[in-house]
Amino acid sequence: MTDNINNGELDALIDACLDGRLSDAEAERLSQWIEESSEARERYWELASVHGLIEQSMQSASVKAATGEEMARPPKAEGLFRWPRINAVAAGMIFGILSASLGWAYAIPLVNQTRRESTEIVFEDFEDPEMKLLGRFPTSANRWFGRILSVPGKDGITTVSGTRVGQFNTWPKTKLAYARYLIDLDEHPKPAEEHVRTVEVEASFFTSNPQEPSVFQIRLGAFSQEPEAVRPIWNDHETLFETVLQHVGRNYITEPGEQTGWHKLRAAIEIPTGTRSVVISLGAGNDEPGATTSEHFVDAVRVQLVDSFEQQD
Amino acid sequence: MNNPEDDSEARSATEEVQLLFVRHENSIRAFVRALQPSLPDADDVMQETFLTVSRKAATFEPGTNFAAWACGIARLKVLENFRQKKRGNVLSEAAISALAEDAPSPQLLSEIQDALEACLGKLTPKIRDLLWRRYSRRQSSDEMAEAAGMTSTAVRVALSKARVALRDCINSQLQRVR
Repeated sequence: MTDNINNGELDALIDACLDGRLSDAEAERLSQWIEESSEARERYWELASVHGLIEQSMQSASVKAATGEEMARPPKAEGLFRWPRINAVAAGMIFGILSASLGWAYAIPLVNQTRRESTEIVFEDFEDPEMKLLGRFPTSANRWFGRILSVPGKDGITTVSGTRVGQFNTWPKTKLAYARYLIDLDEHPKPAEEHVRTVEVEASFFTSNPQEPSVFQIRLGAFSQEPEAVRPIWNDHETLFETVLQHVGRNYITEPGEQTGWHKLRAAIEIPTGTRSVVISLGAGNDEPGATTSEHFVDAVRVQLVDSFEQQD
Repeated sequence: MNNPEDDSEARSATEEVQLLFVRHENSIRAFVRALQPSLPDADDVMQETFLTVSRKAATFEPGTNFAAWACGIARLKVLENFRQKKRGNVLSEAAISALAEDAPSPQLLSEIQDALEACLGKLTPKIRDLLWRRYSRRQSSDEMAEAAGMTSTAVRVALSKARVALRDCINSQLQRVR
């Protein structure tokens, strides 16, 4: 029977647990309290929820601090969740690098100033009418693959850049269509040792039928393998999850009637040591089964290598 | 080799639950992180949960509570991880099971997240910087101490106070709403 629970001691033990600082004896004591007391469990969840949720807020905030721009806020979801937090990936990996939906109202103050050096390494606005995309996934670096065609801007579609846009070609049985690109980091100067390298991708998406909810997606994956070796890994889920070094993504789901223009989506991936290849996957499609009347477009895809480092002021 | 891109039907069901997972990831992750405070372990559990959710895509009934379904899988993965690691200084399996039984609903977690956003704005810049280093950059206390010009102990105390302050602020916000 549990008695004499001291809330101060309980809070201290919970805090130590969340920080991984429990001794064996403390772990045993806290476990006993939790097993036997609903009040202890309630206090645990109060602190643990903060621990569990703050990470995502901070990671979203770090993106804002790095880019100086607000992340887009997706529309409110129907049903249980008031915010559809659409983070991370549609597959695997290290989660929570970006959060698409946090509406926070503060900027992260950096005691040491973080400096950024950016290099644009890809800009694609699908201006080449002869653009031929081969296969679904790149077998080599530096060119686009996938279900996308270069088409001229037409009625109702004002291009973001140039006179043409990329149009996704969704097969009847697939929810999303994809365009993919591989970066070979061996072709770029290596960052200094103390620098943190990220790849940042920005793309503008458009749906021809804003009355149907659409999904716009950017997924990024970092691999130690050379570009030619990534395709079979990407196509096998189990191998992918065991192999990928870092894998993040971002979805944006449109609210019927609200997405009437281009929507700019951004995603960033921190590049782990040993990364050779980075996959950029752009996807678009309908969010509801049976929705068939929307066409989806992409334009002005911009990819930057960003090296960040702290500089004392 | 299983090639999901060559199997449109299977991919459709899998893709559906993956999108749902992405949509509800914050709540699932908060659930996992609370039961599995260690970041690397939580990452492992999330990945395993995602894999299992993907494999079991066909067994999920559309229209039912996805977050609850996924958290049920996550709970088993936390326990599996716990059994594999067999560390001494963590909660007992019975304690983790009891906590999982009393976990807040996804809706409540969503409300907590809303309140958290507001409460973070009330912290001092220095404390927000520490939280950012701890939770975004995943820095150790020593690394944070060096960057912030504090001792490691002071960093740990500050983080602890920050979490308590956020908890109290969140409780206050939620009471105001209700």
